[in-house]
Amino acid sequence: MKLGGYAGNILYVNLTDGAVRKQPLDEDLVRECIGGAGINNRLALDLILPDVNPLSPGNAIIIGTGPFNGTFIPGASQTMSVYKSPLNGSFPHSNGGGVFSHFLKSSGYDFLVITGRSQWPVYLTIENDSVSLKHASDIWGLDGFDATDEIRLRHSPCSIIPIGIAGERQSAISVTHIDKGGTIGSGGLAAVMGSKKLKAIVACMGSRSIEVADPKRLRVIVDGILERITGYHLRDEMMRGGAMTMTAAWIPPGVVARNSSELIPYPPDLNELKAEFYELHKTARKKIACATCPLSDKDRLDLPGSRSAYDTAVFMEMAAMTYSPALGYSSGGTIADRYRLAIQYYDEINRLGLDRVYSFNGLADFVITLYEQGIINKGDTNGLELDRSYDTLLTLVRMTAAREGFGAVLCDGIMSAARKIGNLAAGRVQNVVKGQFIAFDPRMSGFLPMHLGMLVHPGRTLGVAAAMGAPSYSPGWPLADIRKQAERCGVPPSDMERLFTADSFNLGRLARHGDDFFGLFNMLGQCHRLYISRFYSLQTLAELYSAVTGIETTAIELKRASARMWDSWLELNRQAGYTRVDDEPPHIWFKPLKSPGHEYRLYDYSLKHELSRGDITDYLDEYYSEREVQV
Amino acid sequence: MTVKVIKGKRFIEVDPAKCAGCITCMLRCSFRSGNKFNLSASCIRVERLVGRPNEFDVSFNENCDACLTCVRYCPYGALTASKEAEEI
Repeated sequence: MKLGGYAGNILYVNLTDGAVRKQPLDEDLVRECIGGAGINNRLALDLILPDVNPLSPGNAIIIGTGPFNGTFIPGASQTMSVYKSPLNGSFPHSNGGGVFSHFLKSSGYDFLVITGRSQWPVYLTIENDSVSLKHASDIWGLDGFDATDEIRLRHSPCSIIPIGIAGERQSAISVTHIDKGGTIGSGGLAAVMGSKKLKAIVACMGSRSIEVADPKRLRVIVDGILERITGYHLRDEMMRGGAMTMTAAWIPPGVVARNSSELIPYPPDLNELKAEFYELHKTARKKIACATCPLSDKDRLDLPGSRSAYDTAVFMEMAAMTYSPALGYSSGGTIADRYRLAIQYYDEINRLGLDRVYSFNGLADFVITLYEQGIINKGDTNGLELDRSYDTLLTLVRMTAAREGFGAVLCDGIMSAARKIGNLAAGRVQNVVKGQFIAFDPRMSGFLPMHLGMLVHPGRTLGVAAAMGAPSYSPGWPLADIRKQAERCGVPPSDMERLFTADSFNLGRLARHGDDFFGLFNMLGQCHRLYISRFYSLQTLAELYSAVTGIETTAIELKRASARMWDSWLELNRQAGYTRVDDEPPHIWFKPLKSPGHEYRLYDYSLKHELSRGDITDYLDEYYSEREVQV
Repeated sequence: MTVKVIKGKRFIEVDPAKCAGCITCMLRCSFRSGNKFNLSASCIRVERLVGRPNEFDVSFNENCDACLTCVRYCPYGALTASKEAEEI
């Protein structure tokens, strides 16, 4: 293939018989679907039967890169994946950072398709034309990070996607980390790997080149982007604080607990605590960057008295939670003690490989609430007393990842747990859509585009990040700034007046355009996190795409390609049985969230108008109407 | 630990503790020499250390001519052009 930016091949690996096949990437497919999520969807439509058992050999793990991966475009780090989810039967989009996409392409492959099931534990290594399955019995049982270290000893330089214990035990709420950094696989990618006896995927550094169509043009565009990044007013502080520099302000007034029925406030001195946490965080932090990222939002944290811990972007929420009786409470101790406990929790759950944000935290609260209400007791929990303490939380994490004791009830997610518990527990499930929790209750923030994304999109990664970018998850943007964001996302001027009034915007319709814009990031291999994506517009992406591939394109054409990606994703999930009924908002959203002296109700983005179920239905209608599809 | 590479009258000083592992230097290096990207063709190598979590070894091969491209584009200040000549 003559197009720039592509390695030019799809690698197929069948774990059942060990067969390996290298197939040239079809240029027509590239021109239509670009790459990443776009081609992943097409491969999934061709290769995965919609009714396949996700944990059977018939499921496929499809890992894709985009034309920007392998180049020095800032933020071109993402690895995209699709598979049938054991959590909810959907086809989630899931992507993660690190350097895996660059290393895979350095061996000459844009896409990797893994099918079948090995009879014994193996890990897959890829180095140029040498593709092999290696015995992994000696590392089966290691957590994800220790397995990473062991494999690196054998194959460095390489990039590694391992699974932890939760993946090995095929927990449907398992996730994993690329090189101990970027999370990938919400919805159970690690479980699918576990079902195939695949301990890790290892992309070694190959010797193949990635050529671009117009090197000079690319260099000029990238230098311009870098100039803006280095001049960004928050960059110096981000270098010190990482993601927490921006996310510290997002902490709500308390923790939503007791099955989303109440908000338990943080201590009144939360602001002072936050300031102390942040200062401590900066001293404990070692910067970690994904490939080509000049902003390093990832952290390794070293605090005296604990082993190093990692997270994709450490929020201080958990640290603050150690002060709150909501979940993970620990009495006494200094700020450093509290932070050390929080880090230990992050580290434990990440090593074991459980999805903290969209599954485990909500699940733990759910069963503790049932226990408090007397709906379950020690007879149901294998003798485990459930309270909201830190020790209980850690015990539940370990049991769940290992599928042992009461953990066997929890390990496949909230819906499965409720069914197993019985006692009408299923009817008590709240704030769950498509089998995953809505991690950020909209009654505290107002209804954000992010919430619409979480209603519409199975899986969470793209659902959160798409739908409009930063205004999706950071409420309170002035309307003028949202207009600028819409322009950046490529909303044509002719549509702006249709989507905006003098004092509001049409959230459902605008979300479609945000989806199209941020969907492109997942097609091109770009990171869509706000720290880096803020420096890109649709126009910039089009210019970069033209320079890299040699396919001269316009912003509008690129946006159309993204729309095709979304259409194919909708089709995948329609075939998997998802309908508009599955987009229904949780009942609890329309009940007050009670807090001492205050009730939080569901309001719109501007916090001016209380929303009813009919209003959310209107948002959904408008979203699908703008997307021009019938669901 | 600080290491240095010296070529002629140009010097690159490395502070691996500041390296965040973004491999921008490797990409820039290979692009500068061939207008294409090739990690293994880069004169600078960033490699994750085993057992020392998310720390990196930064080294140069014999083809490095200390052109300072990697220095110019390192976002984290791990590479600097040094004025003092010192032994490798």
